[in-house]
Amino acid sequence: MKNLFFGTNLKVTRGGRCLAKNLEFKIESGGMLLLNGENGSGKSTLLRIMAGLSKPTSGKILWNNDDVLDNLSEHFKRMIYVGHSTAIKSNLTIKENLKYWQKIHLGDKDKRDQLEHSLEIFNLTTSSNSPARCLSSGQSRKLALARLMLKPASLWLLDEPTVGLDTAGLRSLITLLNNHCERGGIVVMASHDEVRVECPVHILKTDNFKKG
Amino acid sequence: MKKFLALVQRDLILVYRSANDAWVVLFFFVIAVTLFPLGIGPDPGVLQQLSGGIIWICALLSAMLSLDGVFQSDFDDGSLDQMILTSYPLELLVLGKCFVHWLTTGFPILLISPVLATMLNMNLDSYSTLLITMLLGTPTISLMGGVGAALVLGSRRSGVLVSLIILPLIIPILIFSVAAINASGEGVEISSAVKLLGALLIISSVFCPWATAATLRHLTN
Repeated sequence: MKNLFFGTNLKVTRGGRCLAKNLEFKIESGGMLLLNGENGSGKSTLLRIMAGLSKPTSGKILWNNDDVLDNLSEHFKRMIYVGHSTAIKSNLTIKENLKYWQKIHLGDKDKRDQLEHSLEIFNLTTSSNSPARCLSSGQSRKLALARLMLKPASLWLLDEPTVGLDTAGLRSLITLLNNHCERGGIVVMASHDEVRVECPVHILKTDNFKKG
Repeated sequence: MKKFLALVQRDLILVYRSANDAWVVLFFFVIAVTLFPLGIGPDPGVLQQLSGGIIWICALLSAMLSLDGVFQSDFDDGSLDQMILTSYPLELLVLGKCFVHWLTTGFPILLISPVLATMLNMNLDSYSTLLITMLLGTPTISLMGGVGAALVLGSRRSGVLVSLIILPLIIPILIFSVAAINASGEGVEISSAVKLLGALLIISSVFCPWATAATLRHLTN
């Protein structure tokens, strides 16, 4: 089934400052929306609104014509949000972090294959039993991204996922993005870096918000 | 239920691995109670009369020490966002966090309180009442404290602030608990005070997680 994720007439404010007015976006299954703009232009705020964590000042975010705010728990089920903060507990090991995340989102206990697979993809297997406080910032980013493999979701919201990633990590991320879009998933990503993916990419320039 | 248990299990592991916080609360409680005989003199009669009040006041103050941290680290590292994004009621996850707070602060205080009661020459008939009031009162503190902890998230000196918000609200717990302990020492019926403590626990376990979750949602907005 083809899904459609779109926003109409959005107004985004943060700290009393209007970041965007009359903002529209539309993205279909298999597509990717790239949010591109200066620091502080509202990329993260917009992503949080898309995730349902924040509410737009006015306007609507819709999934196949249903307002996501009407049924947030359905929206949370179909979506993975990897924010700027990595949500990693430094006193847990890498594996424990992922296991907790898997359990709290899926309630499942034994999906070990998936867990191992996600560790492999980002080359974290060898250090999987060491505490997360030993990770470098790039490795922490990889651990946060490894969650993408753990939950079947049609919508990925990624806030600057490429920050700190090495070449191999970036390659793994691009493979994941390509596979996700091929399966009919939707990606919305805020990034300053050029990410070469095979799926159709729409670019939303957040700098133009205020002019629009 | 699995999600609830996953959160409780993770938080217990985290407390175990950074055990400092839990020990600090317990040691503060012991030291604070110990100061009283030193301050007001070793007269067994006076200590006996004050014992219930001393133990309860110290328990309240030491519980305040760890309250500000209940949601702080989850807020700082983005775990709170992920907690909201699970399609599981945030109210229940909050309840889980309050339960862990109680298990790692209120419960140890409960366990050690009879030892300190001996030091304060508490009337032997009052021990069971002390434990009952602790069992009903300390979880209520954790639940009400959760609301305060959520309210002060992100503010400076949140530890002091949470005490200022929560201490006035938990005065009824202090009044009923000490009344019950004193009454049991004199052989008077205590059931009404204990029932009121139970009622407070039930009311706060229904309303506090709801209020806390609403505050957290508003805060991440």
